[in-house]
Amino acid sequence: MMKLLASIALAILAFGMTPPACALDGEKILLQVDRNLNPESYEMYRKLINIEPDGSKKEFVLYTLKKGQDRMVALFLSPASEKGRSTLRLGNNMWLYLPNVGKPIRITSLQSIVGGVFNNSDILRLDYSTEYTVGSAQEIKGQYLLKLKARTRTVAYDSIEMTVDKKTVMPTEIKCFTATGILIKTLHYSKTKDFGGGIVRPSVLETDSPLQKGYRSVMLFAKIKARDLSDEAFTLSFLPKVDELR
Amino acid sequence: MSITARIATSSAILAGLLHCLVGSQPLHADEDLGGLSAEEFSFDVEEFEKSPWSLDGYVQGDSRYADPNHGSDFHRLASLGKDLEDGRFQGGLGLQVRLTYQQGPFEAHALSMMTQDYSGDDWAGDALLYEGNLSLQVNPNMYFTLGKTLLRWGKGYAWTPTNFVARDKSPSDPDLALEGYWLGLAEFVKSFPGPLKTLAFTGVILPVSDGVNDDFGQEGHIDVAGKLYLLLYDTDIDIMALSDGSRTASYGLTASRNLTSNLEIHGELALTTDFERKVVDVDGTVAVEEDDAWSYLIGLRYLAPTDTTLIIEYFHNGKGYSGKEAGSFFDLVDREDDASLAASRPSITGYQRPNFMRNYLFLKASQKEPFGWLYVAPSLFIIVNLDDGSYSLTPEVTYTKFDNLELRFRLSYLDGSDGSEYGEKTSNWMAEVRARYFF
Repeated sequence: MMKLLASIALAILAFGMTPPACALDGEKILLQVDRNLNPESYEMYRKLINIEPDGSKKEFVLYTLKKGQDRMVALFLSPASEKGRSTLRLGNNMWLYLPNVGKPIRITSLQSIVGGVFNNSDILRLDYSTEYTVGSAQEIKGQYLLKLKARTRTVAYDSIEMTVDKKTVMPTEIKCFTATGILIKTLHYSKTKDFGGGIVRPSVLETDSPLQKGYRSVMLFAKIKARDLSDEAFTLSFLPKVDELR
Repeated sequence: MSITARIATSSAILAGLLHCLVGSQPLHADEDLGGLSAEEFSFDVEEFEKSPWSLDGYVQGDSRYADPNHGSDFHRLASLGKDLEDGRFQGGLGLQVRLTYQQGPFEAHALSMMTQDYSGDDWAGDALLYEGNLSLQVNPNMYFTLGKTLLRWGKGYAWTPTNFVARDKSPSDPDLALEGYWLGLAEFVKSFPGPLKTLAFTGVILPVSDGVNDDFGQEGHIDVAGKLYLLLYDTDIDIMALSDGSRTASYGLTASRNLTSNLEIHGELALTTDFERKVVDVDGTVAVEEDDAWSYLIGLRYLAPTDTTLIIEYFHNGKGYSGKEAGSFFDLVDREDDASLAASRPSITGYQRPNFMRNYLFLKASQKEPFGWLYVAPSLFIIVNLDDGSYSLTPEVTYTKFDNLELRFRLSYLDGSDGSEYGEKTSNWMAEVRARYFF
């Protein structure tokens, strides 16, 4: 009898010490989210719409290129007042080039080159796994909830909570927080679309912020396709010439 | 109607107009944020198909009024041989056009500015080619440019002491396009993995002769300049040099980096060797002094949680004049009669450059849509001469409700004691209204 009890106790202890077979690998899910949202290197067109509290709208069209983990560049095609502006991101470094000024100036991730709710970090978003580590991962009602923590202090949001659809492994909602836990904004992905080339992902990203009540911003995605690019396309030297790559 | 009354009436109309435009659109803080439907929006990406030709620019109209600082030294110098009015309305029309043609690795680019300015009773027109050049992108690592080109080196916002091969910008309008120089340029760039992410080298050849870049420096030289750029440990580093030729040799070092997600720091250090200055002595004699001039700048750009952007810069101008030297100059202007002053003019041009003294502070605060005033961006900047305590204070409001139309109202107030830089400027204050339409 004592042997039986001891065996049961050992079995319970051993079970308790071993991770359950169904434990979630948050880092793996996050990497999958990144790859499902876009290829590692690609080009795309985006329309950004800022909706003001009075309902009026400001629209911007950008041509964007991304390569690898940490290189991204965007060129403004419209409106005329912004045409020719380009912005580059290399890791946590960001610059803005204004044709009239004629030189790139360093900008920070929390600034916004277009106003509205999207900041520079949203517009030049790298892979989530490049900027964040997974603090915890849970499965709740057919969705994953990933709690992510910024890798460095220059990342725009100290932490984010990402809700991921389990079936498609696509994010549906992302809450962005400051270091003190204040909610800065919420991003909502929607309207999944087939962009061709095996890219099936949300075509709309909406955002609102309790810090900017009444303001909303929307990003529409188009013509996302994989593209091979040289590393030098993502340098300050190339910033005035991004249009040559279209 | 007097000038003052006209200004007061104009200001009242402008204030009323601003109120109508922005005051009637309160922030709906409690508005329901839900219910946004993506169907409201469309995106016809085919509209943005690339064409080899690109034409853009702006047309602008502006009107300015300057309240004269009668009896000030710079007003007196500006009045020599002229009959300046009591108060001056100025203004004009401008058209900036940028035309680009790109085919494969070749690109032709031109930027021109045409103006028609009104000053007092006279209209004067001008057309200037700011840039006109041909470029060849040999491969992703190498490209060449030949023609009139604007180079802007340096990291400073208001001042850039390392900007060796370009014209000086105005600290009160640093974003304005400027005329370039005729030059040949080659650039090599290479990216790397690791802490050194980018290395780029720019080589420049700039000839100076009669009719070609003749305002750059002494004629009869072919100047050579170079800049090495490194992105090292997330810091931008530039090392630049200008050869001894039309100007004396100069060397520079700049750096900038982001410290946090809302704070950037930058700095510049420049050495101009054997820099020549014409210095007015206490007895009015002019001596030519030659010495190495060290200039430096340090600045911060900070985005506050209130969405206020702050830019602060300290600038030491090694080419400038000390308080004592400036005092001798102001004494000279006070003491001499018009004929003597007119004769001395070539010797005192150095004192009439903007920010001609040694130590300056620039501070700019700009706020996006304060108090729920949509499309309104007010800003305030101050330039302080730390040597004599004089300053220029400029509040500014831009309004951008209408697509591609930017309206700007600016007021500049200048103050300082007698014998100080801003206390002796030609105007006490200036007002400017500008409308710019982009196409």
